[in-house]
Amino acid sequence: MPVVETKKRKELNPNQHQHDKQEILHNLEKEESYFRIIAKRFLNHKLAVIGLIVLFLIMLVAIFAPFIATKDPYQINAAFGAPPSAEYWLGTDLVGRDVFSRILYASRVSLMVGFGSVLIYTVIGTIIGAVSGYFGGRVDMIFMRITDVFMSFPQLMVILVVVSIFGPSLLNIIVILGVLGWPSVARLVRGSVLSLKEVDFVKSAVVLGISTPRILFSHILPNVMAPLLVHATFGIAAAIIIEASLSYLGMGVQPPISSWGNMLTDAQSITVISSQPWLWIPPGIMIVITVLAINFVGDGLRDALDPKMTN
Amino acid sequence: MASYIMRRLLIAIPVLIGVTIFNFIIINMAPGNPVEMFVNPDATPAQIELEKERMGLNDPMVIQYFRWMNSLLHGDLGYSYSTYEPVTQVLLERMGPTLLLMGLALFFGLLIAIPIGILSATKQYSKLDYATTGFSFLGISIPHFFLGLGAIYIFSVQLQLLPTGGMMTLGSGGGFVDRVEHLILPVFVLATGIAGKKIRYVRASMLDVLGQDYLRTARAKGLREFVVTNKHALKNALIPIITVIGLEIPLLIGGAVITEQVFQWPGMGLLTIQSIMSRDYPTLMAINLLTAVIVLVANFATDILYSVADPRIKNN
Amino acid sequence: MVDAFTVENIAPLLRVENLKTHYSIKKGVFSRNVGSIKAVDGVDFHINPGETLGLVGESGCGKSTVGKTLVGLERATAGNVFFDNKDILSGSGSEMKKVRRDLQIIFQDPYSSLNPRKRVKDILEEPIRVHRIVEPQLVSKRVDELLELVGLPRAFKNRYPHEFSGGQRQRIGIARALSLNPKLIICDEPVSALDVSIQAQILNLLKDLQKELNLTFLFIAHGLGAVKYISDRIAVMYLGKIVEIAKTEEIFMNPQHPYTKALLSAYPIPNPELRSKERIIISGDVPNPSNLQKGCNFYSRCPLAKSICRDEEPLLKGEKHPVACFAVNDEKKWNAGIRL
Ligand SMILES: Nc1ncnc2c1ncn2[C@@H]1O[C@H](COP(=O)(O)OP(=O)(O)OP(=O)(O)O)[C@@H](O)[C@H]1O
Ligand code: SF4
Ligand SMILES: [Mg+2]
Repeated sequence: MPVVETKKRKELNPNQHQHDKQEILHNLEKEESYFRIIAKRFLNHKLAVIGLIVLFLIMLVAIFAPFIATKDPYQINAAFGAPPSAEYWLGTDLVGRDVFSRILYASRVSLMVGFGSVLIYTVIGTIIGAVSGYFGGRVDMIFMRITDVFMSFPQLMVILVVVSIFGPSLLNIIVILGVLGWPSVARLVRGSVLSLKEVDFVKSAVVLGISTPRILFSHILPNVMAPLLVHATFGIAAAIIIEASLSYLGMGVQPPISSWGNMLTDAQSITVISSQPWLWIPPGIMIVITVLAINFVGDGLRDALDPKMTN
Repeated sequence: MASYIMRRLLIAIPVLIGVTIFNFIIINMAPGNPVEMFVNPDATPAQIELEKERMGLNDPMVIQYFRWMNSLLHGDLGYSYSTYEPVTQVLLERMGPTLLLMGLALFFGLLIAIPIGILSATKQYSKLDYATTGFSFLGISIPHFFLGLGAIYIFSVQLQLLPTGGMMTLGSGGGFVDRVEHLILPVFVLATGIAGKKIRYVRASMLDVLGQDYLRTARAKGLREFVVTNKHALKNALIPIITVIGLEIPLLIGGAVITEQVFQWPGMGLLTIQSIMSRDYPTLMAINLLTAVIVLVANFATDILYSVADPRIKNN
Repeated sequence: MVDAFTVENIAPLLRVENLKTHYSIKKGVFSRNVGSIKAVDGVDFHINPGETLGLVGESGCGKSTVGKTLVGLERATAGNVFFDNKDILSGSGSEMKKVRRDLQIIFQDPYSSLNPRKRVKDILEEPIRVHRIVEPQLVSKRVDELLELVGLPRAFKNRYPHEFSGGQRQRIGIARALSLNPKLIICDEPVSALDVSIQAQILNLLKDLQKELNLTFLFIAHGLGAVKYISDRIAVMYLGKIVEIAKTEEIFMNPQHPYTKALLSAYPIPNPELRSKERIIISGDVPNPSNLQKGCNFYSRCPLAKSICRDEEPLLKGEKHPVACFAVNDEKKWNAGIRL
């Protein structure tokens, strides 16, 4: 098709006419796929890359905890509250369990709560937000008022009350965080859907007779993924902090299962704070490192996915 | 404007009703009932049943809800299961310390966040900017309880400068200095969280304003950079910052619960934990309701403030 | 050349009767309907098979709303639309959906009209697969055909929209509109967002496609420039109403309505004779479409307006060259108006 080829070259020749800014940008990016552009921008964010590496290491620790741990985390040893030694790298807790091994295993709890609960509420929130935004009218009105009701309760308060009713356990924490977390996702998705359904490519899908569910899932939602991913990443960090806080208060994961939060519970006594810092400083630092890493990843994703942020 | 406020109020009413229904449902899922708490332990099942009937606990849920709402509107929140005092009275006692703590934390949090955020924005990509970003991320990533314990370890245990908790030294009567000393650590912990969140927001908002056309014009006209930053940009950046403070209230309340527990600060947060431990559901329900109302009011105020600051919203 | 005699013997592909599309304005505490924007307010026209009808008028006069209502993106407030002799406004159900596939639309903005997350292949395959236009194993071949039709190399089908220029994107949009083998395509300002040099290419493409596939077009544009080249007839719209319809050369050589004349004055005409004749420059603002007075909508800006124009609404009258203006249609009323 030689004719077509020349036509094409003419159109792409930037000297021939004044393309608008967007067009120039698109031509420059011609050779790169969407994913590669995002990846490149993400890799430019140094803290985000470091965060991703740290998060990856923590995941490895969680997966291979049984191989890395020097002791059985549930094994009660002779020494209660022993200081760090060659035998017990980070000492033992008040019942005589190895703190180092418990910290390794606790990473599993944090990651499970973070990823599990965020996955649950992202799915719920996406469905509610998409339906609300796409159909509008009365459905939207009712859903949004329900969202307002949920958002009126300070999250930690409701979680505490609900946990006190259903009882604290790892599974309950994941489910409760998952079931209560959807409103912000619903709002986010609804907002995006509202603006996307006015966009021409969605309208043309309607005119082409594509079914509504298909339009929602195949045309609209993929375009909501970027802000959703950012939101979910920060959400994982927040969920890990909430789990740690609940466990610290004794309302979360229950011993003998170890969680970074419940390892700090002992530090409610001033003697532990002052004379046994190995009991509470290492798990606390693990929380900070993990949450920090995830927040950095979230920040990097936001910069990479937000087209306004291109410098 | 009046119509906008009316409209927002009318939206708030169903939400408020929804809040009470949701609260009522949650609490009614709780195990145990008031009769078992109040009746003497050797009462026969028949006596308990009689008492339940008398208290209306066998009525349909809807009836119970309206009865509860009715007493709620009369300021009657029931009796605490643990102290047998009226819940209203308990709440009133605990409200003061919490408001003091939260108010100071918000004040100092913003006092740190606003100047640092602005400085960071005007010196984008400088060392200071990176340090600020690092600090703010640290601020949002440290759990309140860990920061609190760390503060106690350093300032109370190691340096012996400040008390570990409470509102005043027991038996001392609580002079002004003593009270201030007790406030420093909890306020520091809560304020750090707020500052960490707000710095990024201030910075972004300032960058946004600094990039706008009229400021470029101002600069081109030869206005000194300092004047530009301070007069023109600041005013426009502060509007969104001030107006969204209300949205921080839910997080502030959550932070207060943990912080009060760490420092044994006798406010509503500590009361929450104590009520959960003693399964004191009337108190818990009242706290939950109160905080929800506070959040609603804060959101409402935020919306109104925002619409005053940004007239485009009103017409929508 | 389609003359008056043959026109009557061809059944129009599209017949629009008294079409109204109003947007309601909600306000106040209870979102009451406090009025409506009469974006399209009683429009009549028809389009014959294989013909291109140009629809022109100022921004906001309701051209896009006409197009959106025809393809079902907006709900009509009143009126009838017969497409292929079927009433597509009142009909519903699966049969109606099938009829509607024959009516497609091309949008103005080549950037927002393509889903950025889908490759060209996916964009074109989806409607073909969903409606089983061809056997599943032939879908890919059909996509190649479509690309060839709009003058794009096959190799493009694995690329994403952002890899293309505006003109290329518009070609993809055209290919998508063609994917269901429609009979009528509404082109809503398909070239006005493009560079001038590319505009001609796209217009030529549309003309070629029309010949090749026996398509019918409703071609919407702001000004008379673009429509002149492609249209057989032109309808001029002002504030929700059609004020004049005629063959293209009639509109250019013998415009009747003062508004059409004003539009022509704004358009550089190569014909010096006409240029010197009467140049009408309109002043004043376009009235607010939510607050229209009775009488002629053009009254506030019309240099020929008389008192009658304020009180009565001129109707679209005439066989070969319908016009809605007292000055043209109703000499008697007009004279009465002058005397008043
Ligand atoms: N969804 C909507 N809700 C309310 N009013 C609308 C809506 N869409 C269009 N309008 C109004 O209807 C009128 C006609 O709009 P329309 O888009 O049909 O004009 P147009 O002739 O296509 O203009 P343009 O040349 O700018 O595309 C305008 O006054 C517009 O403000
Ligand atoms: S009817 Fe009257 S106001 Fe309307 S266009 Fe004709 S002359 Fe002008
Ligand atoms: Mg339009």
